[in-house]
Amino acid sequence: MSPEPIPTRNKEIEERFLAAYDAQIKSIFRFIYYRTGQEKEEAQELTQEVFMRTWAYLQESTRPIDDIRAFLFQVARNVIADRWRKHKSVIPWEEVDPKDEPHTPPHPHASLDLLILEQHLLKLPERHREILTLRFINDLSTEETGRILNMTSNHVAVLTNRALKKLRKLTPHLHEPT
Amino acid sequence: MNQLEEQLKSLNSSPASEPDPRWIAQVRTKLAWVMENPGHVPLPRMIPLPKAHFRLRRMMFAISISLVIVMLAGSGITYAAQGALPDSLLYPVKIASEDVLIAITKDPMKRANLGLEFANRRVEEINILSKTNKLDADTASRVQTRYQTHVTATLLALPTLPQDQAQTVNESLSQDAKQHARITQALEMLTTTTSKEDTMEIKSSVKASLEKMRQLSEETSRAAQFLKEKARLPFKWNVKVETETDGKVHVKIETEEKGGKKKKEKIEFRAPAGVPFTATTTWPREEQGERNEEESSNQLSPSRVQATTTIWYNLDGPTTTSSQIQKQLEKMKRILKKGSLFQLQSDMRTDGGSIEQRVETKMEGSTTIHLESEDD
Repeated sequence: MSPEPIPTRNKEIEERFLAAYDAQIKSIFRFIYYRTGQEKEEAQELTQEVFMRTWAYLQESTRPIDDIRAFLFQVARNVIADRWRKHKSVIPWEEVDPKDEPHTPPHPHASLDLLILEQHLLKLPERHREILTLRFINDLSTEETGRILNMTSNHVAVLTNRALKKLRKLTPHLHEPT
Repeated sequence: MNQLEEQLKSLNSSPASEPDPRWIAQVRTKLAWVMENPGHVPLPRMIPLPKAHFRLRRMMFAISISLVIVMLAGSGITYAAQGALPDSLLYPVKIASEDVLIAITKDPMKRANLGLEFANRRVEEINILSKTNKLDADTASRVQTRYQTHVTATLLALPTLPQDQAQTVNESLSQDAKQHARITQALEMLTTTTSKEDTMEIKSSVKASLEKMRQLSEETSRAAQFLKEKARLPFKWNVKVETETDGKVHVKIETEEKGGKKKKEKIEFRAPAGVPFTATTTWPREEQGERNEEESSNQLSPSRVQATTTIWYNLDGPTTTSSQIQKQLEKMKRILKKGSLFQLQSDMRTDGGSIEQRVETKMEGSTTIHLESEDD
């Protein structure tokens, strides 16, 4: 029997990946946003990179991905690390079309407490920021977080507590009964 | 205990981290396109891929142009073109020869200087045209765009240069940009005073171009000044130029200080637009003075600190009523009372003297909250 030729396009995988895109784009974006320093433009760039890279992997690799969500988060961590390893590149001016510039609409209902919390989150060390983002903002369990960070869930729980403690120290006024 | 967790969870729907739906759709389209055209797009592996691609394109362009130039060079047209003004037939030759020169210049120092030289040319052109009343809207906007390109290229080249060369370029940049700001401002005034009814529209778009040029040169000169002052300190820095939807370009410098602590800072050089409203609060207040005493004693004299809150209210926003501004001020006062914003400030008080911190908040329209604190 001759081996089947490898199809150049696999509709099923494409559809599944696009579905994963729709389901995960927001949480990946939020993860990168809070993890890197709360800059939309940069987070957008990196998020796009995450999905492109994952797609490239799916094209080339024969190993299936069993948990696409955890995989995307792992790629996101790699993308962030790569960006920092390189000297942070600047956008050459000629390449930017003003029409493509992201436009941030005003947020009429942002609560001040949340704004303050965001500011404080920025001050935490990265490891702590990352774990809080994964656990609460992305609402992942300790097991899932552990899989992404390559830790035991026990270790995740300990780190989470430590990070929460630190954040609580920074924001004493946020927990006063109002 | 659980309140903080709840709050963290609610960041999940924080508008600040909500991605733009248009962007989501855009990326999805890109992704679908990549899927439909396997092998057409080199999928990313390393980050600076698009840049390399871009460079190649530019090189191809330069080669094709340089063929034309070489052919023209024999006849001395390129030479003659060097003095051409934007309304001249030879002007495209001048522009093209500049592009070629930039494309074939490898030395970053020389490239930076070329950018500066060409920026000077643009200002000179616009100056002559404007004074002879030949400046139309189209030309103004074209020259302005090129001016932006040159200045941006020079700015972006700065961090790639060795320290002493960067200083030399920066020195000329600072002087030239100041000069440009002066000239464009004078021209702006000129356009305003000479405008007649029928030419109003043209004049106003010419003026808009001049304004953009002036705004960029002002920011550039401020940025250059900042770099000049910082020059002696050993620190890592990076220049960023950002374009807004309206085509305005803003200069930012990111610094990273390497001392005992790593500190990252982003400095913007834009002058605030809009109308300032100021509220002043004295801190700490008598009734809660003891609570924050320990924090303040580390860095500040235990004397009182006055926090002045200035809200720059953007007039372009859809809602500009004084009651809304009033409401915002009330809100600010409430936060100051709580002491929370003061905590934001206390981090900045490292240099001594009066320090400013800008917090861009995304609350209620595009508002910039400008915080200043001073020792009483």
